[in-house]
Amino acid sequence: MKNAIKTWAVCLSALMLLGVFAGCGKTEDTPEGLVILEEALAPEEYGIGFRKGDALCEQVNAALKVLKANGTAADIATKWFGSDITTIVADENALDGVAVEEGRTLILGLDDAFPPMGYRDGNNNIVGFDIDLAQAVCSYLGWELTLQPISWDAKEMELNSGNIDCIWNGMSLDEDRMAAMSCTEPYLANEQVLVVRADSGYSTLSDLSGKTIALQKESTAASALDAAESFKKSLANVRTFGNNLECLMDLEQGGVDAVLMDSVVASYYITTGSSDIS
Amino acid sequence: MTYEAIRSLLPAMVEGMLTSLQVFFLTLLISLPLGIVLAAGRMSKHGLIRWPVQLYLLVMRGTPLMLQLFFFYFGPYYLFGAKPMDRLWAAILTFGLNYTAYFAEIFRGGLESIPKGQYEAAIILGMTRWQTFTRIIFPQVLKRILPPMGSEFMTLVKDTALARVIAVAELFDIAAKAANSFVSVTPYILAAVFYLVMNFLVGHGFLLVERKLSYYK
Repeated sequence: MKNAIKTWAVCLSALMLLGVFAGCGKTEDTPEGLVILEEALAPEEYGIGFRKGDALCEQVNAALKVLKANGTAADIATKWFGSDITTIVADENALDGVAVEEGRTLILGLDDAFPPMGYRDGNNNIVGFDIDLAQAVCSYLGWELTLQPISWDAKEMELNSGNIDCIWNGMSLDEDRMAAMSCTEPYLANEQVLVVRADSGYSTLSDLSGKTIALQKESTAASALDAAESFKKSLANVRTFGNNLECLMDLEQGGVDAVLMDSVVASYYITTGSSDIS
Repeated sequence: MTYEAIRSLLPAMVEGMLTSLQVFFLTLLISLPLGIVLAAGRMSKHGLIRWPVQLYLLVMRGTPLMLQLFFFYFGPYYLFGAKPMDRLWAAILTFGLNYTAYFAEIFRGGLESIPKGQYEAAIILGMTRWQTFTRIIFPQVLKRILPPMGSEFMTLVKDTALARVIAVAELFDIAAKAANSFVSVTPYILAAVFYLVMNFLVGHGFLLVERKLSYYK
């Protein structure tokens, strides 16, 4: 009986190891697998969300303008995107007349699975464009920055209950969010784009009529799709997943024909991932 | 995903596993004793005790665990304006209360499956209620509830993954974040291996206990 268990345990371990090896070890190719369609949906902008009426919003907003004026924002954007794609309106005197809280700790809420805005690097540290920008703002205002990973589904609850002071994670601004929170002025431009398999031959929105697309639930991709009524009606089905990687996995294996997601994030996935996501 | 990347991910996954195990053991610590109390309440002759218990069992088993996590974590703020408690403890509290309900029903099933004749025979033999319970009833109940308890324990190991909705950095959460950062499914495979190993140990533990108790076979 003992021998049977030992044999079985060895077989199981071997099976699991095989699974791990099968799932990895592929070379990181130049991406040929996925492409972004030229035709984009709603252009939108990223902003930072605070509790309704929170004075911090104005302070951070002003700080961003100063940082744009003195070139810090441009440097950070160039580091992450290759050029300054921020849409902050530069104003070196933005902080004049703004009462800045002294020595505050800013608790930044993010879904740390959202590269390149906020994600985990190889050493499991949280990095990203938003992190660098937030750090620059806090250094300028003399504040401490604390990062608090949250579940994106629960972001409003985390914000309102005081667990986090702001949502700073490539959050697209839309009417609902601006009504529910105090938001800064936009700091980055973004569009909702469709990612398709390179060999699928789709190149325009009309090519996707009668097809199925995927998007991340509770994201602005869903509202962008609602706004594009005729396109939405032309689709056979819309599937929602917890995060963009799951959407892309389904795209790769043929479960859906396209993924609707932020262009900023799509570029990251396509340049980082290999031709198949393994 | 390269082998170096996997190796660099392992420490974080182990930490996540330790958090999951923390939730697992502390949940059992709460829910096993409470389950016994609730089972007794459920079998009570007095309706005033039985009905609230039945309501509790219905609500706890009838609503999604994820929803309960949100309720216990954000509820205090939205209901009373209070600051939320620590995430880990909110998760342990939620899991504890939820699994109490399941364990209570398992215990009740085990207890009610003992034929009434045994109680009568014990009375005739002059045994006290305590002697009857500890020497006759309990050993049989224990043997009968081991298989469903084993399943519940395994389910709990996997349910710890739900704690990520209130941002507890447990094993599956770490795997999901890594999968997004490395644009790879390998972290998910690794997480599956971790869960499989943990549940193998749970299953094997129960197997050994069942063997120890099958002294008549």
